[in-house]
Amino acid sequence: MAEISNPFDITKAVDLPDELINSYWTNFYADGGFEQMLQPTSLTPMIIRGSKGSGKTHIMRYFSYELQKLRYSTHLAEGLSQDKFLGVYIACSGFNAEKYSGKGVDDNRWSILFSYFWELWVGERMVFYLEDLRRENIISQEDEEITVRRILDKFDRGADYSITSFRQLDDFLLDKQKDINYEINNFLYDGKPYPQCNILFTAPTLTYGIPNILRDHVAFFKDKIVLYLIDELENFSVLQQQLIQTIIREKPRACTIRIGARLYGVKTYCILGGAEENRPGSEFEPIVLDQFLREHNSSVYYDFIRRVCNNRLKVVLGFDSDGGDSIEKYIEDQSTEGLLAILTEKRNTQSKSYFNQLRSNLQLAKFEKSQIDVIIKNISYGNDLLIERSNVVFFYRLWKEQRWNGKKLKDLVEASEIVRNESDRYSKEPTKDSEHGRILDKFKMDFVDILAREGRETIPYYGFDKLVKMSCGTPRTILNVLKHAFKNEYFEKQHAPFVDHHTISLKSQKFGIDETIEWFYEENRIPSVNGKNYVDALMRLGTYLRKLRFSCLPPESSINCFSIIPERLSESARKTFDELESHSYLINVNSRRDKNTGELRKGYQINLAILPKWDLPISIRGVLELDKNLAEMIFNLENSQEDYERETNAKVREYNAPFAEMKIDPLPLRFED
Amino acid sequence: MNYTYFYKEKYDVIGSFHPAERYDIFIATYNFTDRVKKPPKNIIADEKIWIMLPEYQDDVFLAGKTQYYLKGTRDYEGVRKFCSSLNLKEHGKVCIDSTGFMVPHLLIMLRCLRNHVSRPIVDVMYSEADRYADAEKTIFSDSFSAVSQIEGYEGRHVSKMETDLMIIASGYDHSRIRDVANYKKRAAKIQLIGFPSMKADMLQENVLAASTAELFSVCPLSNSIFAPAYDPFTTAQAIKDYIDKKQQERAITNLYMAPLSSKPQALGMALYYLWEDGLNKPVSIVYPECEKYVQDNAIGVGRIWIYKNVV
Repeated sequence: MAEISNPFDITKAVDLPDELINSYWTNFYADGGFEQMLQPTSLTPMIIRGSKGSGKTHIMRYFSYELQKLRYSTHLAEGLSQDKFLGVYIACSGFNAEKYSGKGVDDNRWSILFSYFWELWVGERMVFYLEDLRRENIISQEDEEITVRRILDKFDRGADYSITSFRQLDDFLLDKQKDINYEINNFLYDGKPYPQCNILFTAPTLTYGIPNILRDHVAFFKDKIVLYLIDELENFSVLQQQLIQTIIREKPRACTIRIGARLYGVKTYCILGGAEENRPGSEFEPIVLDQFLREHNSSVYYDFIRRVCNNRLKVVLGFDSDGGDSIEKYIEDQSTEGLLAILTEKRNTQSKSYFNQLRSNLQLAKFEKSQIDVIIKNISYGNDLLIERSNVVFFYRLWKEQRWNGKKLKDLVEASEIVRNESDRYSKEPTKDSEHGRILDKFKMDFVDILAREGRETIPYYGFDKLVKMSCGTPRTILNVLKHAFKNEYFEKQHAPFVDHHTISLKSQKFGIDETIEWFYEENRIPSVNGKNYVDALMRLGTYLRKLRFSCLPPESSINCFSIIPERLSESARKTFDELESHSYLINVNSRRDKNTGELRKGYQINLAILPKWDLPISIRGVLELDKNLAEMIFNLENSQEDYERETNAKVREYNAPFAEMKIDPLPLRFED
Repeated sequence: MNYTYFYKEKYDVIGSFHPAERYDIFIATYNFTDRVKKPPKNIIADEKIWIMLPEYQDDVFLAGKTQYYLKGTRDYEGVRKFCSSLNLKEHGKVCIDSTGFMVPHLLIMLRCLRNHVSRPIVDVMYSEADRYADAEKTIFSDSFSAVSQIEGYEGRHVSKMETDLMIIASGYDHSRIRDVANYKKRAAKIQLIGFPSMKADMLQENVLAASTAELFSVCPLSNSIFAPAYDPFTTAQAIKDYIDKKQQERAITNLYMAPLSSKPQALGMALYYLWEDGLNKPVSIVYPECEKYVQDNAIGVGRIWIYKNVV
């Protein structure tokens, strides 16, 4: 049997050839979306930031000339006339920009050299495309000669008027690139104090000059603009980015600019000389792509991801998504009822760990075995795991508060009797307006997860709906999960999923999720500074949230969200926090005013893609407030691990029986009067 | 250039390591391992200089030895200044023990010596480890900072990037493989696998690391270049043969090489760059810079090689 290709094998747009960029293209809405976002003919520059895998490169490449040519093939002129732009894609990673720094040369000189190299690069790219348009007879020979001459006229010196064609000009600009590279690579070994280059023109001679020349002298471009798609800006230093900011600020009407960068990729908004700064909403429009995707209606995002996946299946496996086939049908899911049935079945053969824990807690509090047996008997509730689990939480609450309906309790046996009576009442009439009703309304999904964990079942992160949520506005995340899930399923069952109605099992989904967690850390590695590993703070946070979630009496339901006032953090903690946010480990979800101080508390969650690492839920419900001290313990890595554990353990003790400091003397069976 | 014409000497055990050559200068970089400390005792040289990184300053082994201090792992200017300060006669004989060297320092030193006014004859020595402390889990670097071109091995790169190619000499560290692969995302990737490996199990360990780095989705194992992990000349020849063949199919726009595996393979990449006029081509060698390099994870002394007259 021929091997079936994995439709999700390639997850990065850079690894896709142009044909697949086109084939895999999925617009955000079924009838549009990214054109409205990018607005390719709007003259206002745009800076698009986004996490790795959010789709920046895919979108920018889609609007490039290479893809325009692929889309319009034999009707290129008509297609470009319809688009009204020529997309010029510039990948900053190709510049090897890091060598334009250091080596004992001052910044001013590097700035001049880099600006010149930028012009040579952009000029060459433009001329390369014009050469292709000439080959397509969209630009006439006469236009070519005029354009080349006008470009040479822009040189401050060294214009070679024997050059009359785009081809010759392209070769000339490539040679100049090589010359400056050679000089920069070798000046140290040649004993020179700095690179010595013949600068033929300054920025933005060609960047602006060529679009202006096209508009003024080439009929085809009279009503069209040049769309510069400058991707991967994070590869440029602060000084180099000042050049780009200057270009944004001073651009003419013949061109427009879209810049793509990682969330942390824009290092400055200052222009060269540092005198002025570009501002969002003024000199440029800012977009954060994964936020754009996340903040849309969840059904719109779900539909988008579904079509992204279906597109892959269509191209690689011939999926008939127009005929009703859709990926969600092939991703196994499990209902809550189904999972509870499995757990109920299991508990007949396995001991109930929550009762073991309760017994252990009562023993630690020095209760007699006979009393413990009575308590547990009262709290047990037949085959209804949810009521029984609610009983445990209710009991712990009574243990902590020592009161019920305004009356002080005699002892814990009475507490267990109250629990019993309330559960009987709820069982006969399950209303939300009862203790159990209120508990289950808040904690039901937590109970399901906790019961799964305690019953040695996987916490249910599976099903297409949940996988979409966990992608957290980053399509590459779900592609990665499916890539590994596909591989695992194929390996285990010796049959490819999606073919002949074969599905992706829960087990393979778990495999895909686990692999994706490892991949996420590798992909989003934060460069270390002075030995600091910022991700250690994330471990502290996740571990703390997990301890709270699985405590006897969790402070909130569905703990995965916390609120914080970042401005109150120390410099060290703030730096760690900002790095985690800019590398997408922490996602800003909502904000609200502190009820006491009125200060803005920002809500964050750990990126859903890696939440399973700590068995945390993916739905947002309760928000945990992190006070300043705790936030410092977590995010300030100058605090030792021992200090962090001491502080957080003290905090977690508030939510675990016996809800107080352990005393040496045994507690009485009765509460103190 | 036909690299198979180069000559190498092999000593299977340290007991048989008694090279006859007499050198004007012997240069080594110090760390605690036996394979750095023991073999140089048998080298005959008028002057032996130990390059020192800050963490090794007070070791008793170095008492009475000539030392040259670098400020840190990124003190490339220090390496250049060291080379400029060498007092060599015309065609003087230099032996560099590459065993303890960091790859960038080794390559910069070779570049400097190639340019040195005395035009020295340079041999490079390398001592294999008997084994590594944690087998395939051995860590060689940590706290990654950034990938960059090695000074002196930067190419005349251009804005045409349609057929960029990166050759990755895959080592154990899958994180570093991923780092360099991400540095030039657009480039097609080809792996250089050390085969035969220095020890029998190292091949599988290398392949495992590359698989973990997910290189195989964009670069199948069947498309790899194979060259002995201990032989820089065959490595350079294998790279040359591959590139020459690829150039005939379709011109490579920019070529990047990442020496993440053995020191001899790093030397092979350097030889390819230097002898194939990489200075005038869009070819460069890139390397991941880290805050921490683990040098002391090798145990014992295996085979010892001397690669003759490399520059």
